[in-house]
Amino acid sequence: MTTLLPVKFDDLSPFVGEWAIPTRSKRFKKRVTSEFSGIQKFYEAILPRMEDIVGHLNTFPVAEVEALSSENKNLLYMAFSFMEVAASVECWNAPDNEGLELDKVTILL
Amino acid sequence: MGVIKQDMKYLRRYPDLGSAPLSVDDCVSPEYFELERQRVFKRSWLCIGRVEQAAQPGDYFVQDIEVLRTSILVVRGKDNKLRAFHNFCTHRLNKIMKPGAGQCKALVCQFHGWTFDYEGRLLHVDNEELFPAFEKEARSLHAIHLDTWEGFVFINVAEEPSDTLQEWLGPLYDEFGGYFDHFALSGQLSVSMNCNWKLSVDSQTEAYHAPSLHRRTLKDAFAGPKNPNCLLNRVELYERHKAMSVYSNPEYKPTPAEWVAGSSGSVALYPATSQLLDTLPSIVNPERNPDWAFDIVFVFPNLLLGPASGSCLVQWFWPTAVGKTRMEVRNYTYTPRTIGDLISQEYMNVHLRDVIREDFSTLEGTQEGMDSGVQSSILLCDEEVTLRHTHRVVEEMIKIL
Repeated sequence: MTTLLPVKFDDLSPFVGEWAIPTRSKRFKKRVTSEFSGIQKFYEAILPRMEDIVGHLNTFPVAEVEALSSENKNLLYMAFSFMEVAASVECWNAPDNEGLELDKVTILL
Repeated sequence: MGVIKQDMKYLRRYPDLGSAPLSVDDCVSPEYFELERQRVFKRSWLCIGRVEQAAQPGDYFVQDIEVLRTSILVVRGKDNKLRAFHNFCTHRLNKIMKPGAGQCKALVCQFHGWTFDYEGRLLHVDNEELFPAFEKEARSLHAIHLDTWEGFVFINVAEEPSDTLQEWLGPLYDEFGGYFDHFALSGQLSVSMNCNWKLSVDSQTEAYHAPSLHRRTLKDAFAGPKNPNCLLNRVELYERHKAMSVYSNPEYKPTPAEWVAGSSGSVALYPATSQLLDTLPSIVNPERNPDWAFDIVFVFPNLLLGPASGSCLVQWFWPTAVGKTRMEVRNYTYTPRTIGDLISQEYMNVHLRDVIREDFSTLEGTQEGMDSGVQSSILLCDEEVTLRHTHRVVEEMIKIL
């Protein structure tokens, strides 16, 4: 039996497939190619749990972040995705702002 | 220029910069760009990276610099010193190392195997007897002046630079006191735009645009009842460089994600916490204004530092043609102490990228406007004195034959 997330966050499992994304450039791409309704659903599900998510992940030393179990990594990547999409919901009411075109920006890290 | 309006405080302080409209010529003229190449970029100390990009003896990095029409190789020697060379073999001038970074035992040209040591000395030539007699000592790699400041690597391709790096940096030199030692790289972007390099510098050195351009992304984080027009807190113009401080709106209520970011780790948002204010270098927010958000320090001609609360944005401006610029943007944050810190820093990296994309979104349109010839000059407000200063510094350098 494999679980996608630590047990107490099991209710967020439906979001893992779409939002547990390991790199910043892929999270950005996911944001700008998503429907706003999907972003909003994800944001609203994660926001009330963010304090608990941070508290849970803080029980592991940051130096060993690469060695986290896959459930905890999924949780961390979803927390990063939450930060990626926050402005879509809090500021723009759309996936992206009217910033410089994507093909002119390369995210190296 | 007629009557000085009551609120023209920078015109009063820097009367030499005047208040006349600024010609667009210096952003559209290929001849002017050629003069900039020869008399500004080939004579200035240019920041090309950070010392940690070549941390150990034998580590190197290569940066192609279009505006200098050269490729620069920086390598750390066995004596732990960084040295810079034109990245071309002294045999047939092939590029020695590929762009990027790595570790090497020696600098070996792949074309014919000529081999140089970390100090650029020619060590080995395959089948040397095939050549007419020549002095190996005279075929060292072409060295470039290199010096470092606060972990930033600067080069100067002039044969005899007119200033040492310390003289070039002037009042900035002593002011940061190891500030950057506390930071680690946490975000990096590369941006290519069809605009003159000075337009990208200009976009990062005034705040007058914030209430309009960033109206949705920064909401009322900056403009508030205390400072409705988002005026700069201070502007300090040096001989070539400049520093300015940006206020935040103390009435601002953080968004939910900002609140999570601020409470989970080392990235404080706006305004900075008083504890953080105590740790800033004296040149950053010198008044220790409690409403401070971030500073901008422009190190002429191609480096911009943005010390903020728990992070420091660093930008490199690289002209590639009169109407083309390549930018490198890095965000430095404190070495994370918890995973919550990583999540906090993630917010800052995403936020800065989105704000910078807004900053840069206008520049190609501005270049088109300037190229159209519809207007030969632009009218600047007192807050845009920083633009006058940059364009003036360039103009003055170009006057020197």
